[in-house]
Formats: sequence, C-alpha cells, structure tokens
Amino acid sequence: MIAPDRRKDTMVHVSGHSCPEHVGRHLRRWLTIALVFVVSIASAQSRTTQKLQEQFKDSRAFFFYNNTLRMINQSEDPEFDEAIRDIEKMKLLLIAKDDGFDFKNVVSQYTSEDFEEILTSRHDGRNFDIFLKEKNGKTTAMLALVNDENNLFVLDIVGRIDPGKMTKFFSVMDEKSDISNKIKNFVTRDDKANDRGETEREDEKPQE
Amino acid sequence: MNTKTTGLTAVMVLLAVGAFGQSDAITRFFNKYAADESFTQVTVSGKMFSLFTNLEAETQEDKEVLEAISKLKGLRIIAKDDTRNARELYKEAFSLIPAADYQELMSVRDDNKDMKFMIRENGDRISELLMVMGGADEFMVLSVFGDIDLKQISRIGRKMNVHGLEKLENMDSKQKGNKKNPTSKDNK
Repeated sequence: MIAPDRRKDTMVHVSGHSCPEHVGRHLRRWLTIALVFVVSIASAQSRTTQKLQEQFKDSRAFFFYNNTLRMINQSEDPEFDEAIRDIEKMKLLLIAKDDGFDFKNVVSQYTSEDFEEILTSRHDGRNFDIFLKEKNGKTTAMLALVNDENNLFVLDIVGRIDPGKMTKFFSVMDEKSDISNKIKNFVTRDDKANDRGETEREDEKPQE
Repeated sequence: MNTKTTGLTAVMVLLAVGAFGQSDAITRFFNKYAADESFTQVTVSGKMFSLFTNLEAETQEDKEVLEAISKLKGLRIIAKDDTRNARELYKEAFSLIPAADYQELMSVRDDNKDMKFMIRENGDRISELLMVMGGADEFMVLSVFGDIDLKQISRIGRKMNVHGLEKLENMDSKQKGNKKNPTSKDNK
C-alpha cells in the first residue's frame, strides 16, 4: 500500500506544484532520460525526410510502427509478418512538388547521411531509387524514392525489409491497405479539381 | 501504386546489382543517353545482390540461383520502346562495343528481333555478359557483370522477368559448362 505522504508527493509533481527536493531531482533525472530517449528516437528517422516534411507542409505523411504494420496484415499472412519483422518504423511522404524542386539535391542530402544507392531506375519519366544505410555490416535503414514530374514519394524505413519478402510486402501494402488508395488518389488526382481546391487533404497523423 | 507499378518495383528490386564505375560499352551508351528521358534505365549495385546471400532457398534450383546471384557485382539495362530508330540504336551499340574485349556467344533472330549475347572473360571466368537486342521498334542493352555462371543466368532471367536471357537456355549444356569454367580455349 502506498503511504499517504508519497502519494501526495506524486500528486504534487503531476499537478506541477513544488515538491520535495529529492523527488524533484529524481523527476528531473527521469525527465532528462525521457527527453534523451525521445530525441534519439526522433533522430533515428532521416534528417532529409524530416526537412522535406517541414518544407512541404501540404505533403501527406503516414507513419507506421511495427505493430501498425501488423494490423494492416489482416489476413495474418506469416510471410508479410516475416517481411516486416525488422522494421522499427516507417514514414511515407507524398509530396506534390513545386517548380523549383531539385531532386538531385535531395538525393545528395540522403547520400550525405550515409545512404548508399543500391538501385536506380527510370521508366516512363519516373525515377525509382533504393538506398541502404548500414552500420557494422548490418542494414539499419532503407529508403525508396519515386520521383516523377509532379510528385515525390519517400518511403523512409528505420530497420529493414527482408529482401526475399519485398514482393509480399509491397503487394500487401498495395492491396490491403487504405494507404494504397490514398496514394492512388494522390497520383491520379484531377489537377483541375486541385486548382479548385477540391482535392482531399489528409492531415498528418500517425497510423498507430 | 497500381499492380503494374508494384510488379515493376518488385522486378527492379529483384534485379539487384551494382554497376558504378564500370568502364565498358554500356557505360558509354549510358553516358550518352543518361539525360534522355525516353530511355528506360536500370542500375543495380553489388550491395543489393549481396542482400540476397542470406535468403533461405526452398528448392535446390532456388539455392543455385541465389548462389549465382550472390556472385554478381552489377547489372545495367538501357532500353527504349516504341521507337522508330531501334535499328540505328542497335547498330550504334555495336559501334561502341570494343570487339577485341568481347566474344560473341550466341545470336538469335526471333519475331523480327535480333539478339546478340557476348561475354568478356577475366582469366578463366566470365566477368560480363552483354545482351544487345534490337527490333523494329524496341531496343535494349543489358550488361551483367561479376562472376557469371551461364548455367544459372537464364534461370535468373526467367525468375526476374528479364526477357531475352531465357534464350541462353538454347545453348547446349556442354557449351555453358565450358563457358562457366573453360579449361580449353576451343570456344574462343
């Protein structure tokens, strides 16, 4: 049973009033640890992706954590679960580019973050590039960029997708996720409707 | 992303190989047409291929294919569809290929398409397989490099939907075996 005075101490902290000095020290220490933890988690995602999101405030962003991705897998496909096993989190940005957009500069910023280009392609005016970041021989992050005349898709993954399960991963994401519909709508949106302000806007919200 | 895009993505992902710094015929061609958006281009690094080394194979054939993939160092494709100058591009590609460095492995004419397979050797190993294809309205150059096992390349092409490579199946097994580990120079 909690002693009444300790309960009071806790309540005092929660309400933000003054508290005994030793409790304050503990709380400050825990707060510091928590802040460091939060900052380290936040910095795990690519700085360039964060900058892009800040620069393009109208971009659509989706966050997935490992448990969210598992929820997408409603049929409980074991192969999909295997594919996402090592994904810590994933951010998808859908950016409608402006006139001065410099894709090469974006790529250069990613490579300066130690992302290594492992596949580049161009087909029908659309670039598709995959990057990898490694630490001590282990893949710590993956990045896919799809760039065309009007849009840039950024798939920023902390962790890795099992390469042998990539097809399964993309097929489940494509077929079973509401996200794919949003992407399709984004890509095929009517420019005229966009001009009229009729395009649906989706606020950024974590998909957790 | 639609199914077609996803399929293309999957194929491109599976094509994994690294071709940076390559100083060969296809690089010259790449450099010439790098800025031309009408060309399809794919470049895969060795790093990407290395990702496949730890995959579990379900069958013996898959195991052999994965082993062959893991020895590849890069892949490059440059292609153009629905073009009127496919024949000119085909000729141009050959004009850029240093004949002394490559030897012709096989020629195929199929549905008004011409295909030539050439190899470059490094010691007793095949270090590059070059496929040049030209049709009435389509053109493609494909270069695979690394330690190449011709016995497996056609299987890799089949599994990765790289059209043309399946033609290598038409080579007789003796020829493929000799090219994998040529102990005689008869085929040169």
